[in-house]
Amino acid sequence: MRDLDQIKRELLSQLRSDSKFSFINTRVILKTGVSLREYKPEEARDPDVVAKVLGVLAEHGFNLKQG
Amino acid sequence: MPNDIVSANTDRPGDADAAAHIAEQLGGVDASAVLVFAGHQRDGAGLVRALRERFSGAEVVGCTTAGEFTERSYGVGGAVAIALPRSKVPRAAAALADFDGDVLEGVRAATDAISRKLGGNLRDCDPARYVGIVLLEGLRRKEEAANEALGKIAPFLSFVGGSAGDDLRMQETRVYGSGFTSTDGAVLLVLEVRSPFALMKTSSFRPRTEAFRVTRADPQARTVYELDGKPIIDLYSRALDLPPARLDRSAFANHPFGLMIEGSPWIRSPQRVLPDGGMLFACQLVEGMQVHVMDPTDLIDDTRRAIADAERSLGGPASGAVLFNCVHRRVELEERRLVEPFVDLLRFPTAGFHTYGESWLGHMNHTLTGLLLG
Repeated sequence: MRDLDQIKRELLSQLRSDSKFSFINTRVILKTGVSLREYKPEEARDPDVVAKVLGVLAEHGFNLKQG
Repeated sequence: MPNDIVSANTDRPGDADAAAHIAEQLGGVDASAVLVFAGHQRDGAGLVRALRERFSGAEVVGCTTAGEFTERSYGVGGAVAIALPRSKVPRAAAALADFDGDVLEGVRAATDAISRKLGGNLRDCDPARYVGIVLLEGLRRKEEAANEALGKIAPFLSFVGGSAGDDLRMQETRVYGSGFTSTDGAVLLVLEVRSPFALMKTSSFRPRTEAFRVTRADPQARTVYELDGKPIIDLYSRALDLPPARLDRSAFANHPFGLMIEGSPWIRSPQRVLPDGGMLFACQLVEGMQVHVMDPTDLIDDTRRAIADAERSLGGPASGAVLFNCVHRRVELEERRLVEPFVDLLRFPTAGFHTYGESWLGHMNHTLTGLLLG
């Protein structure tokens, strides 16, 4: 089971740009309430939260599900 | 003159006269795009047609408003316009996203049309060279879906804009472009920009320390029922030290909720308390969001700072701007007699309108968004 920290690192590594990461993170927050920069410790490994974030990322063309 | 951004405004009553007056002020600009914002009682499509005849080859788009302004005018029921010259914006492409069916499909059809006009996929456009403007119908609550669709199709391309208005009548808003008018859609305009450009987003609120998590909400209905597992009305009235019966327009306007993203508030404005105990907002909140009750700050100072920040990012004074100012801010400007200081902040050709919601990456309230060109 992956956690939000892994997802954040994978996304940053795909985007290779902090400003692009901010764009996507803002879109994730607006859709899920979860920030990949400032998530709560209890959210990090919550399967529902992780699935929600992965779902929104996939909708934006970033498929990180096969980790 | 042909290479400068030029704005225009008119109060002339007849639409033909108004179009002629605007065209006369825009003069000989070699424009790739012209934006026109007009009172809801005006024939916006007619204005677009007339300006299209004058500026053949330019994309001409616009919408109805809850008031219009330029750097030298401010009013309701008139029309304002801005012409973007090819020297700064060599190419522009616009299309209508029709929301009559599925919003995502409507946005996709429009972005496909724009991609064809520009000869490239919008997803691959360089966000440092291309920027989008979105004018949305303002009453059907489809702004979130439209912004999400734009994010899915072109996640790094900024679309900044606002929702059309009808001077607070809440009956019908329209967006229009070359050959179309819609009461259920959005105009998308993508600009290829040769000069520096900056986006601005400012709202005049600061968050209180205490944060609440949305624990029960119906985002499609833009309604929140519970924060931290407790009725939102109880928490909000306690935070404001007001009985629920006194949670009125003034309380909502002075103390909206804010979602903090990277230190910046994304304002969610309450509209009213519902009989079922929910609170209706002017944009969506989803379960899991952490929000703060906000306190007001100085609108003029904050706007001045936001313009200065944008100009710093441009590397010099702006040469023009398209601005989208929330109608709640219009009410504040007028009630507090701040119209003149607000217009005085616009030291460059500007066309703007008072909106029913602002857009950039998502939908928000009580905010000024805009595009400034260097």
